[in-house]
Amino acid sequence: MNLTWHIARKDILHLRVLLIPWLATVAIQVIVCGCLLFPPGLDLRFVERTGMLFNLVAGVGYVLTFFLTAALVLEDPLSGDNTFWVTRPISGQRLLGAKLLAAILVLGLPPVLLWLPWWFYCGFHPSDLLTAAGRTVVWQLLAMFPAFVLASQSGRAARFTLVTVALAVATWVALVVAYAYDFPSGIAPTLLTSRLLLALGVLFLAGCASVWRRYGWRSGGGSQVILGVGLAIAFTCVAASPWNLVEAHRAWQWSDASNQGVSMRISAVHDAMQSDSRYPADFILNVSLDVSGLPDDLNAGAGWADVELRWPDGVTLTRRDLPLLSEPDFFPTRRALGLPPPSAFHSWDAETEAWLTEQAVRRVGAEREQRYRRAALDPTRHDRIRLTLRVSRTDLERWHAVAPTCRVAVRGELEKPVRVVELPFRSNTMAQAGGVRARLGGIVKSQAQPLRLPHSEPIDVFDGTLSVASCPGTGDLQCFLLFREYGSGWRWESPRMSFAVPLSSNLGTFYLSQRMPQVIRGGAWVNPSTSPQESNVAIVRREFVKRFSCSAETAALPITPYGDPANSN
Amino acid sequence: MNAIETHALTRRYSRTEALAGLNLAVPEGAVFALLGPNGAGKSTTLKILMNLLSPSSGTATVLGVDSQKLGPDDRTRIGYISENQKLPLWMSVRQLLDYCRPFYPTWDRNLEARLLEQFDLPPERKLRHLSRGMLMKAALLSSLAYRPKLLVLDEPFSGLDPLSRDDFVQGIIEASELGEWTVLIASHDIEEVERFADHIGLLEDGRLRISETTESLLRRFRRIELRDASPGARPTPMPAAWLDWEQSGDLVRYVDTKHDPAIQAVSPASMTAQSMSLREILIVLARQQRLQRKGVAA
Amino acid sequence: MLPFSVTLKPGLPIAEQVIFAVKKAVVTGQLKPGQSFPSVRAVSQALRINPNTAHKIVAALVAEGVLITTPAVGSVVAEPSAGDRARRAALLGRDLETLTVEAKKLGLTLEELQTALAAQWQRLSQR
Repeated sequence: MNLTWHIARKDILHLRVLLIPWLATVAIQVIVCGCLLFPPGLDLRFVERTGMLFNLVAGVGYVLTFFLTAALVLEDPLSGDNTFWVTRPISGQRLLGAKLLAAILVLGLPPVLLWLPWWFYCGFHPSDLLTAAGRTVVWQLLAMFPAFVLASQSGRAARFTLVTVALAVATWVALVVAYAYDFPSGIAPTLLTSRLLLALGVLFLAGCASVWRRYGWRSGGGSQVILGVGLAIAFTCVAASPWNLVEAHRAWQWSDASNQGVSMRISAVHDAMQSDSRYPADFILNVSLDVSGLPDDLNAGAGWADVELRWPDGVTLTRRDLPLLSEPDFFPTRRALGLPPPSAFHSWDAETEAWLTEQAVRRVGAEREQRYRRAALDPTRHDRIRLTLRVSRTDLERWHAVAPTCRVAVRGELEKPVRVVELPFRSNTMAQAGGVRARLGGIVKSQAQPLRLPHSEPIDVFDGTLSVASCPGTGDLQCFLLFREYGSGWRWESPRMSFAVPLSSNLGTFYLSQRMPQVIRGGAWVNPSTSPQESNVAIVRREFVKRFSCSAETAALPITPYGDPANSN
Repeated sequence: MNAIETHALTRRYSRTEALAGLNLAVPEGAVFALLGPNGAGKSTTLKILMNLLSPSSGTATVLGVDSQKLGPDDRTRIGYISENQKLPLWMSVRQLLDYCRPFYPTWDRNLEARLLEQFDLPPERKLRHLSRGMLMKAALLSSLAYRPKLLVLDEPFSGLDPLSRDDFVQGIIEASELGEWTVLIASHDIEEVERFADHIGLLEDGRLRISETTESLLRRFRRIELRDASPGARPTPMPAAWLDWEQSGDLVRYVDTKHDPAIQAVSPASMTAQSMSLREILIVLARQQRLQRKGVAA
Repeated sequence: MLPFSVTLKPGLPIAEQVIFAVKKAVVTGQLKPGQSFPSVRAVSQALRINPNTAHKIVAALVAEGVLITTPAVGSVVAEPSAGDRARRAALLGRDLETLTVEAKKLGLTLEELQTALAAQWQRLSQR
């Protein structure tokens, strides 16, 4: 071990000058994260450019990692009969150990150490720290591994560069050819993912084996054969592997999932009048499912569904593994945020809501009254899941002619909205909790803008920025503006967002354009009794709870045409 | 006990045969000079012995170990220096020594310091900035300081100035240990080797032409000159031991490869026998080889 | 530095040349009886010759009685003894034979050879 470290130390010593620019790229990333959390003023272009700079620097960092790994390996080349180390009492295994040690110490650990202050600053839990550190190292390894394999095979810097360029060109050509021949079409996305995963796995194993052999035996022929065979198998996997690992994995995940008391009803299928640009001849249909029986604190989240249609004449149409688009009711979120029902989130206080509804009804007519009233005041939950179904013209025509029976089997996840952090809606405030650090930048009042229909009154608008840094475990975050005084709140739909992706954590800077929380009192807009600054911004995380599987069936499911009032819900 | 032994060692490069059934034995304690023209297979032999190349067929044993199984433990007892070995040029002399030291349990720091002094090496200078002679001396130092049982040198003198050569040889002697210390030098610098080597091996076309002690080699070769030979005195067939026969009038010159000093006493006064330097001996042998090759071709 | 002078010539076995040089140094008084003789390593270092050869040289000189080895001191130059003188004269036999042959080849008479020998003797004794 001492000798292994001795060799590794030699390599580190030699590469120390080259390491400086690389460490600089990591340091710049950390600094850029800081800049994004503290954007100066409201210059959105600054945020965008800084985000771009971040991604550019990160990219350069990975390229440098690639070449530094190669330099580390080429320090003691494995081919040629005149290299220094082979004449010394150094075994191949020891050299390999030294190279791995040096690579981890020099290229794996420093980014973790440099990011650590940032992670602490964001308040990561120990487990989050581990996740973030693990991700950082894994991403480094992804850049290091191919460089290690190629460098150990090529032996000389010139040859390594040549091989790298050749491989890059070959990959590009392969992609162009695949695109030209429309390769992935007709293959289930899960199968394609499985094939790629399988190919990457084969390449990884072949790479490991070839490196091991290369360092174990000095003649490299065997190792190159291993690599060649690996490449061929990987290629075959991409082209023709029949194993759908993703589906098998999902089947295993949901193998013992019960329906958890959830029940479903197929409510409608809508003609979306859209087409997928990749399949212009086909038509897109939206299938809606009403979900009931969910516990008070849970929503039905992501998942997959299989759809089976059967016409009376025996024709069937099946689609498997369609992704679910969840339209959750905000009831559990309101609950998590300590707001009272009603369930619709985009609501004002009761008096304002009632007045706005009257206004809307007067403007759009009585036939829509029910919808607005329901949205505003209905205390029951409305959870909905949507699927998009792609069908050919023939199938669409058949469907229009005769409604088929429809069976949908859903494998989904139950999610629990959890409030992570809440901070006052005020300029330059910051809060940190649960691995999330959020900061509101300068909030300024911009000119009044008319509200969307049905509310036409001009309302004051605020511009500002909200930057959120979070650990990867927190998943997708939702931002809400809460007016606790009125028991209401807004889901924050940011018109523009800028993301920097440090891979080990998430950092987003949202550009806000937020209505001022005025209310109707006696038929006129007034500022709330407390100042708008008393409102809060809350950040909500959706926590995975458990899996469920359930199915629904309907005897005849006709297509509801586009434009039907019931369709635009 | 032989420090090095090879049996029918053969190495082919795609078409050419660099070694053709080489049987080499280097006794323990010998300083063995492997001589021969460029391309005779000297480097190939040494590389196979050091397990840098594998033989196409045949076996080689180094310090009792099959050369193809030569491992790190064996290398702690072996020093190998080659003229075209790649050294970590970014290191300073001291860094090179610091790097090499921990690998060898027998590293002698006193010897290291002594040789550093003797070789006049600037410890802080980078290898990249050393002259060829200095570089070879640094390499030698890093291979001598652990007093290897076997020192293998591949053309160590090429491109070295006379002072560096002298330093080089002195360094080897400094690190030597009597009796249990073997040196194998492949070289075409005959003078440097003549004093130093006690065994000479002559490699030609991948085969060992001669392998014997320097002393016996020098003893048995004599250039004979006859003054009063009759014209056409050329004996037929020419004795195999006589090479390089020349006649001009009554003057005959040839090289006797099996000279017996006792004959000199009874030989006529017109006959003189001159001792030959190693260089002369090798030139005669090389010329002989060329003639034979032509003869085979014809 | 070696206490005797020697210039090695190519073509002759090194051991022979060095042994001859040492004997010559003893005869000319360059090496005096009782004087310590350099170690094997020192000889090999100074002449850049193989330590094994140097070892052989010292061993041969000890065997011929030119040097005496004592464990603590190392080698010293021996006192020339009577018996030793006779042995040395005998050892010269082969060199004398060579000399005679060479002289005959040159067509010298015995007298001429003796004169030349006497002159050479004189020259060496003067040192």
